[in-house]
Amino acid sequence: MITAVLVRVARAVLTLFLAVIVVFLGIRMLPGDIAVAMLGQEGNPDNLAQIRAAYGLDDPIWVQFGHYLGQVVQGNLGRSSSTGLPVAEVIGRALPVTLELAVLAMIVAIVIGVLFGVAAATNQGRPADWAVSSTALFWLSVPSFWLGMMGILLLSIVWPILPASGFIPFFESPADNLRHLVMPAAVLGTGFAAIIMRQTRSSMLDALSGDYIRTAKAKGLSRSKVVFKHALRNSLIVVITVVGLQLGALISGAVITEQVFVIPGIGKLTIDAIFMRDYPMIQGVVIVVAGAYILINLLTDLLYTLVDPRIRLGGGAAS
Amino acid sequence: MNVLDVRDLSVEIPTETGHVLAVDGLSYSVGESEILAIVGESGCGKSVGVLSLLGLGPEHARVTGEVNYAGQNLLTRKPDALRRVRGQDIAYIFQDPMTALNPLMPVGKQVEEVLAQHASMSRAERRARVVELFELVGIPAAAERARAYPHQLSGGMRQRVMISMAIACGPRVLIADEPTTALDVTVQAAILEILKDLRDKLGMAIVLITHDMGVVADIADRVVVMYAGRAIEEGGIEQVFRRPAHPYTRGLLSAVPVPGQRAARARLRGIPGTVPVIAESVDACTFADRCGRADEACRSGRPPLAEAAGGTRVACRHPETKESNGE
Repeated sequence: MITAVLVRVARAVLTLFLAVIVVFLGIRMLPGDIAVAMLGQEGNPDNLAQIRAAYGLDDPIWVQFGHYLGQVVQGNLGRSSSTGLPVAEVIGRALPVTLELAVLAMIVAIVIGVLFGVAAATNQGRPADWAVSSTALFWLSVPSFWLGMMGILLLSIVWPILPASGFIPFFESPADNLRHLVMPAAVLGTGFAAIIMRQTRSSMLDALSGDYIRTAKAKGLSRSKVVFKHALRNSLIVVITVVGLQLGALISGAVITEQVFVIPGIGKLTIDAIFMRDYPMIQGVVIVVAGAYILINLLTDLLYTLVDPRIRLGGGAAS
Repeated sequence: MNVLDVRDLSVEIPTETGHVLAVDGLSYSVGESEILAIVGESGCGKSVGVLSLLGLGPEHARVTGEVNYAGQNLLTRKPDALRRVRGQDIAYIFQDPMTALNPLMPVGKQVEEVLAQHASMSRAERRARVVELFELVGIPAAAERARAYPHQLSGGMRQRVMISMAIACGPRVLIADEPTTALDVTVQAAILEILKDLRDKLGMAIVLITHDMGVVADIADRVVVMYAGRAIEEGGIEQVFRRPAHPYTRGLLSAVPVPGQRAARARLRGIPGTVPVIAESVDACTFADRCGRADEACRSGRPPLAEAAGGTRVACRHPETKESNGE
């Protein structure tokens, strides 16, 4: 078990290393470089060369990579070419904001998705199932930026109970922090709630038709025990997979939501960096987000073994 | 004294291609400490029939008739009342112990659940009772096995867990739906032995569903032979095996190999045709199309169950009267 976990961790580190290579090469394949970004296309060639030398851009590419990797390993992601601030520090300030938004959105999505998925599955073919399923289809089809704007219109302007934009750090004022994040989290979460609801519904239907459900009923258990203790637990694997995959996607999804609600998270940082051609910042953001994806996947794998005793990390089913 | 008395049970199941009458006016009863076998081919309605007794059959099935238990008709009882009967008074064992147990819950916990539902016991008492039950059904290292998950046990052990779960609250009726079909032969014999033993120790009645005449001969006191949703013959085990009166019962018996018979006479015989799927109750013998003796009388009027010469009750216009000679 412990060696299996170590293997997983090693694999995750390797994946992250590959991600760093891809990001590094990708950035260098784009036309233009930092020097051009700083001085513009019309810059004096001598000045351009000076900047390139200062940033080590005239070294062979593998020397540059070695240098960069050495810095990354030490947690140094370079300095922003637009503000001059250390990239790691800027990301370090933005990441918790995005994580809080993503986690809140995921809580919204899991609570709504699982509850409604169970409700739909246990009422299969009845009006409740129909209502939940078509509502889910609606939420899936609505773009989140539109939903965000409608939310602001309704809850901040027509009936002003929530702030339209901005962010207050949690430790400054927890209540204000939540007041600012409720709407963005709901907007970001509902689309994912629809996905989770559909997966929960179908895996619940599968579980409910299992023989062990008939056994549970034959034991005289109450309906809620049959549904939640026996059927839901058996459909959780699918739900965990979806949540794991979606949590990564949620961080990317935060880009638009943060833009709409003016929240200073990774999403807004990325868009600003792209507009400013701030390569070190883009590199840093991509590496951090890739790292988050990999970490989430690792945790998902480990969670499987907690939920299903038949799954062993070493690979292959148990006897 | 009958513990369970089923009168005129019919189960109608809506399907996409119309209704199927899975059980058609089935009546039987089982007495204290009696083992009643209900036997028939797959698709004759024997499983659906017993599942429907406690509302465990297909979801939209229409169940009519009477299921009398302890002075009450179970079919008219509310779901809550029915739940108290399930697992406590009438318990089930199912065919495939791999899929019938929850794969994510230790087996001991699954047995504890029945106790938690019906008996007022502390957690420690429940645990102790599980170990006791496991020992009763012959599970070695009981305390340790209670913590195992179903996939860590063999088929025979899993079925023993199912049995211990079923008898946990001391039910008066145990319904065993093909309990040995998914197991290999040596394990089958052990499981049947356990069932007989429990019947003797606990005095409960057992309704055993099977398609295997060998199992019937091994364990049952009485047998009901089902065909296309109806009981076509019933009687004591001796009578049915010695002098089966219905041509279908004869067919079933001659499809079982009898060791020691001379090769020339020991040819196994199948029954031509298959069990028909019945949409609505017909006023005729449902076996007529597969029967060599069928005539006009068989096709115009449902034959009632009546005493036959051999001591069984048979639904046939032209029952066999000779002793079965193992043909």
